[in-house]
Amino acid sequence: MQVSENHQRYWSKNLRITAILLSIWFVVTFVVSYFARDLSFNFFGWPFSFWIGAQGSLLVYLAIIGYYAYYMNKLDQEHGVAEEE
Amino acid sequence: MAGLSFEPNSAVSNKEANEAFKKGLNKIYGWYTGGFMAFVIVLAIAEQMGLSRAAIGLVFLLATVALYAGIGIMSRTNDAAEYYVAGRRVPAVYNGMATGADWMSAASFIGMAGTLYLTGYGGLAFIMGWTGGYCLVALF
Repeated sequence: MQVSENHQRYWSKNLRITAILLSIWFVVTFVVSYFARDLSFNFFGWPFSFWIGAQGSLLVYLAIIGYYAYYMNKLDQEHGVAEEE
Repeated sequence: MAGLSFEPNSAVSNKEANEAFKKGLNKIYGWYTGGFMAFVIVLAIAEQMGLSRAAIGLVFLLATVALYAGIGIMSRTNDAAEYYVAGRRVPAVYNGMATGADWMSAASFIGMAGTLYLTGYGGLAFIMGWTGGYCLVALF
């Protein structure tokens, strides 16, 4: 299959944004939970690590998914591979 | 609802067929919501007039089972893509509502509350896992 320059640029951008968003996901999910005891300072009346597990990480997930969808839509249109709708 | 299925040889373009499908879907969802509210009101009136608790429970159960059986019969299909993912034509908002309804059920109100109470911080893994899993689904 002939992979054009356009496609390669598109794919490397895709990989980069996926790696960035995945690292954010990893930090919020695993790193904060691993250091839960050290991070239990007061945060609006809740221990910080507990609040992250209960609400903060969910907000971050929503932001990740929303931003990824928006970014990929823009990327599709720029490289001419957008789905018609 | 089988009449809403996509005909590969139809004369209209893909985009127009999608628009027609969405309009049909909005109408059907509107009827369903209105019908459900009317059903609840009728049951409330019946309860005021003395319908017993067991009878209310039975009516509710039978009506919803009959309704979903009817929907299944009306949407019958042999195509695998139509069966599993509705031909991938359902708009994102309705999909999101269905996903939300998955989680806003007894599993979360009763189950999660109890799990968190019993297991403490470790129970948060279930909460993070649900939404975080969708994050992985989106990224991959």
